[in-house]
Amino acid sequence: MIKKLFFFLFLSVIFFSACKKKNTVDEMNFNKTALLVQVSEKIALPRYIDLQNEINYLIADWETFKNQPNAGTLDAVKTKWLNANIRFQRVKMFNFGPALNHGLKASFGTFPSDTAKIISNVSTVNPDLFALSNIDAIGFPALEYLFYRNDALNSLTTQQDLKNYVDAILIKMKSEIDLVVNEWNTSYTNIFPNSTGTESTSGFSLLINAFNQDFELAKNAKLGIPIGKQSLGIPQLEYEEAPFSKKSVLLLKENLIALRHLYDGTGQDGVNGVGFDDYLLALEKNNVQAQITDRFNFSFVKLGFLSDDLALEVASNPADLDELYVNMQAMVVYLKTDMTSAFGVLITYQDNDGD
Amino acid sequence: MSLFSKSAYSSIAPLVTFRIIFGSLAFLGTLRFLLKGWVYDLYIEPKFFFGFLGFEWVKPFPGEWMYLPFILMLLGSLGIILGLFYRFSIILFFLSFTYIELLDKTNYLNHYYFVSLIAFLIIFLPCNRKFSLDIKWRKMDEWSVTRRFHIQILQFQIACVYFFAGLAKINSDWLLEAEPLHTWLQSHRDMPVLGPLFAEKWLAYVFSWFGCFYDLFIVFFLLIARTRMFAYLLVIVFHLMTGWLFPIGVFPYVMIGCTLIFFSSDFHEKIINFFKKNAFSVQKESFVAKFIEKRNVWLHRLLVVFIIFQVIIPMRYMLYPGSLFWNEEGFRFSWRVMLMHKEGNAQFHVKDTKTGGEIEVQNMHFLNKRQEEQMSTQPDMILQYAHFLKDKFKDSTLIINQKLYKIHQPTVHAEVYVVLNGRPSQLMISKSVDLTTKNYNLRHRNWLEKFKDE
Repeated sequence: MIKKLFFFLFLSVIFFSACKKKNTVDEMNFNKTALLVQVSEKIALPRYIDLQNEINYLIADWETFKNQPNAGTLDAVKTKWLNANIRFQRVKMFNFGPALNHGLKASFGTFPSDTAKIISNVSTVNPDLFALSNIDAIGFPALEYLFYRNDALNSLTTQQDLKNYVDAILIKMKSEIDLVVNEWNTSYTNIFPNSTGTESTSGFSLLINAFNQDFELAKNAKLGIPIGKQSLGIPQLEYEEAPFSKKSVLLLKENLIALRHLYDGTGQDGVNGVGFDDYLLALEKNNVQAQITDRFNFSFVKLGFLSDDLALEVASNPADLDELYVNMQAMVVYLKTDMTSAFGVLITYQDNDGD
Repeated sequence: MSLFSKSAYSSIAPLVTFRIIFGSLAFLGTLRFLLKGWVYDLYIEPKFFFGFLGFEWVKPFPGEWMYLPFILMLLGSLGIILGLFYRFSIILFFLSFTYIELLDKTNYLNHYYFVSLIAFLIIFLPCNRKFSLDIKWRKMDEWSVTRRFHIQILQFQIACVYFFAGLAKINSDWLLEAEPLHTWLQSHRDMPVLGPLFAEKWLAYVFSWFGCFYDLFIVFFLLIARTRMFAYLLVIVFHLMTGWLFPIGVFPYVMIGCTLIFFSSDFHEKIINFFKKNAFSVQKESFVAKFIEKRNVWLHRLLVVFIIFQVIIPMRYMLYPGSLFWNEEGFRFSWRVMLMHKEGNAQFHVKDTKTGGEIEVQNMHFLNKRQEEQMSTQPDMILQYAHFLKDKFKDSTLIINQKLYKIHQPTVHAEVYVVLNGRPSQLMISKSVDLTTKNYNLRHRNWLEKFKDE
């Protein structure tokens, strides 16, 4: 009796839900493998190769500077430093697999750099740049200090130990990007797209969690902390990402553009492929997809009102910085709750019972 | 038809197999926990623990000492399996296990609660009175029968789990929207062969309705001898499937093992005889006589209270107004499994009342990932964390741009957005609430934003 009643109820639910909305073809046809292939082959790997090339250009120009130290050759080095750093902003969200194995993100981009530590390392014979304690004395932030500080030209021309230190940082960076590119190119290019399960260690879960983390990090470290969000509203410019080159806002912008392209599935070739947006649409989460797109766009509008120099904007245009921050905060909610829950991605690896 | 039989006695065999199966699962489960490194991740590394109301005094051992209760659990479960120093072993296991569960509600799982309850119950049951080393080495008397309610109380506990789990599934999200199963199943869309099926919404409906029906009625089919084999086959298929699709750890095996208690005495005796190399002689009458002498009125009373609590606790949510899934008042200890998919974001602000300045808190400075994830959707944990932050920041000194700032009377606010079962995210806690003025108790939390279900 109860069985029959249940069966009847069940049939009517199926019937009514079938009437309510027709299943789009997309929902069934969308698959995560296609998305991961797009990310691996058209986004991550090309971006890594791009960074690898830029590091090589930077090293080449640095060699030129060492042979002919003058303002012109130093400017070339600075330009290459910025180009390479921008390329780094495009890969640092892939902080899993090869990048995590070789510690690329921490070693290239930990800021702010400890300038006192850098100076003391310079006068040390063979400082251990792989030591965890030196994580804020290497990478792009340390190079920025050495290339952009006031007496950079003079000191880099005259002090051999400074040149040796720059050499050591660049050699380390080159070896790491080479390892990452090689690993992604050989083994990971097969492992990653085939890892579409729901466990937290699957390629798809790693990607979503790393995406969310990088967005939040951009919001907090590149913007929130310097403008005083964690210090009673008092700006803390000592935590700025690129204070010597005055390019902090530019790096934030490049980071966001790179995240947007990843979200859209836009490859390095400019072709829009399968992305998070398509998955959301396949799940009929059109509103979530629209909100995220709008918020991204609003961020770029706000960034359009800002120069590259964060310290200048903190002093002259705090209102726009604050609006940008509030907008990014709202985006965190859409990414971490609406999007992540729609995908059914697991964040941690322990057992759960669904509550 | 053991449930309806008039006789007060029954073969002791089901208790004996239950002891061995439960002990083995306890041993393997503990070993698995240790090998995965979870003792460090969950109990040594975290700086803050979310205690249970009334049990906040239960604190972790310092550092590596946290391995001690796990080692005691391994020893205890070996004692349970072998039936050696049984009473001591099961008490040791129960206390260590329950101690660990009480440390941090972040790690609360319904099946851990189930293990705690079962361990508690079998402290009082003579599971070592047959096929045990207590009999062989310690010369305890062997019994061939036991009181029937010793088996029925275990059947009752399992019936509670299934029946309340089934009742909880009778809600519109589960039956009419097939959520959260649809969200979870569709994420398997890339699985070979079956993948495309999982992306289909009708499959989520089939699973939801079958799951509800299964939970509500499986115990009845297990009780009736005629349907028992078929029902047990369903138990195996159902639990293996959920174990395959969802990250629910050892739970499927716990249920597959424990539901054997519904099988007849003959069945259990056959199992035991199969493993028993030297059969002991059985003298039924004398043991019954001995047993009656040992009749324990207090045990009866204790079990009656236990049963009443087991029925009341899952129903206590009715005392609270508002949405159960949203407010989570009366949610735990009620066999509500697989019911919700919640994802939240909790941004905390510590406000210095003197200057009006605010500090945005980065949760990862104080919580691990799992703690943050669990806290972000559960109001009681949000409140506990807010009080922790108040204590952390009160009278602390911040160094900002080389200047010292002392925080005297901080207030703590949280802006919390939560997604429940695929709905759009909505505000759960408004930034305007000063959480330091709210107490952690069993009263209804009227400072939560009301759940809007459009």
